[in-house]
Amino acid sequence: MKRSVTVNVVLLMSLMVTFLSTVLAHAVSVPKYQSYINDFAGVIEPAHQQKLSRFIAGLEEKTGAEVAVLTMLDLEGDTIEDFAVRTFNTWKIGKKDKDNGVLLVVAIKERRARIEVGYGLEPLLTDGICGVILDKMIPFFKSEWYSQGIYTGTVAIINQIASANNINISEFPEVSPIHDPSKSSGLVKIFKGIFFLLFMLIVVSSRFGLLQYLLFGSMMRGAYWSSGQRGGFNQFGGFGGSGFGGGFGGFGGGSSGGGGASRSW
Amino acid sequence: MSKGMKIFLIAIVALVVIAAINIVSGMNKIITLEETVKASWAQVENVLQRRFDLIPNLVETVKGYAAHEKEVFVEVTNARSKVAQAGSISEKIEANQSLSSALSRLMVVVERYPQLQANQNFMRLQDELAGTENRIAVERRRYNEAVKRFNTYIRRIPGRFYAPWVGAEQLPYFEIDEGAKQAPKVSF
Repeated sequence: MKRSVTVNVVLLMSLMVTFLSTVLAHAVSVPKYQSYINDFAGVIEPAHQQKLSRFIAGLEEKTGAEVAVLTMLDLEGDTIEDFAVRTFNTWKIGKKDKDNGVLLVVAIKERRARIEVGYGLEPLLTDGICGVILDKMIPFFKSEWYSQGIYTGTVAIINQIASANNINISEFPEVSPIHDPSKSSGLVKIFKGIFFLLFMLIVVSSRFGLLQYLLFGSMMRGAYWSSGQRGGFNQFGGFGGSGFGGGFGGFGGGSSGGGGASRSW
Repeated sequence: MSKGMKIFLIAIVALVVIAAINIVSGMNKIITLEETVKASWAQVENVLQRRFDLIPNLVETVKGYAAHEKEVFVEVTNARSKVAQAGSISEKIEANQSLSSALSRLMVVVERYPQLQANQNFMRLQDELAGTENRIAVERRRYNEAVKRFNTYIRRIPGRFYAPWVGAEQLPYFEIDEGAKQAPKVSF
C-alpha cells in the first residue's frame, strides 16, 4: 500500500485540476430567487406576469406542486441543460419529500428554452410532453413575442399538473391536456418504482450514518464538514439544507435529475 | 499510588478514548461515503435502464423509414445486448459507452430522413432519448462527485489507515469518451 510522494502529489494535483475545471465550466452563477416569475431578461409583460403568478400560487395551494419561470439574457457559454439543473437544485423547487417542482428557463441570446422537471413530476410531465409544450411556445419566440410564448407554455405546464390532480384554479383558461404517444409501459413503471424504493432506502440508511456520526462526534468534525459532505447530501433531496436559511422564500427542498426537454428557435 | 501517577493514567485513558472515537468515526465516514456512492450508482443504473428500455421502440420507428440501414441497427442491437450482459460496475460503464457511440451513429443516420424527422411519434422518442441522455449526464456527474469524495478520503490520511479495516477500495469513475459526448445533441 506504499505509494511514493510524487505519485500522491500528481494524483492530488490532477484532482485539483478536475475540481477547478468543473468550477470553471460553470460560467454563469445561479441567480438569486425572486418570486415564481424571475424575469431577468425583462421580456414578460406585467399582465402575463400577474396572471401566471396567480395561477402558480393557486396550483401550489391546491397540489403542493411548485412552478418557477426564469428568463436570462445570456448564459455566457453555459448549456441550458446544465444551467437549468443547477438552478433547480439550488432553488430546491418542489416539496422536499415529493420533488414536485418544474422550472421553465428561456435564454434569449442562446435562443434556447428548457423545461426542467423534478423527479416527482416526471411521470406527469414526461420528456415527450415537455417537447410538445415547447413546440407550442417556439412560434411565439420566433416572432420575438417572448411574453406570450412563456405564458402559453407555463399555462400548459400548470394545466398538466392541475388536470392530473382534478383541481380547478380560478380564472384559469380552458386548455386540453396533452397525452404522450410514446409513454413507457407498466413494466417500466414498476421497475422505476423498485429502483426508487431502493434508492430511498440507501439514502435513509446513509442519513442515519450521518446522525450517528453527529451523536458520537469527535475532533474530526471540522474536517468532516469541510470535505464537501454537505453538498453530497443536498443532491439527494436537500437533506443538508444550505437553502433553507437562505434569502430566497417559497420553495421547499425539491430536486431534479435532468428530466424534461429543450428546444432551440 | 502517587497523585502524579493518577493524572498520568487518566491522561492515557482519555487519549485512548479520543483515539477510539476518532477511529470509529473515521470508519463510519468511509461507510457513509460508500453508501452515498452506492445510492448515486443506483440512480445511474435507473437512467441507464431508462435508455435501455427506450431503444427497441426507437429502432422500430427508424426502421419504418430507413429499413436498409442495416449496419447501424445491428450495431445498436449488439451494443444493447452487451449492456444487458454486463455484470460489474466497470463492465456496465464500458458497455454503456459503446451503446452511446452506437446511438450517436444512429442519430446521424436519422438526419438523412426528413420524413422521419416530421413523424410525431419519432419526435417524442427523440425528446425522450435526449432527456434520458441528459439524465445520464446529470446522474453520472453526481456519481463521479460521490466517487471522488470516497476515493479521496480513503487515499488520504487518516482515511487510508481505516480503509483496509472496512474493506474499502478505490471505486471506478464513470468517464465518457469524447465521441459519445456528442450523442445527446439532437438538434431541432
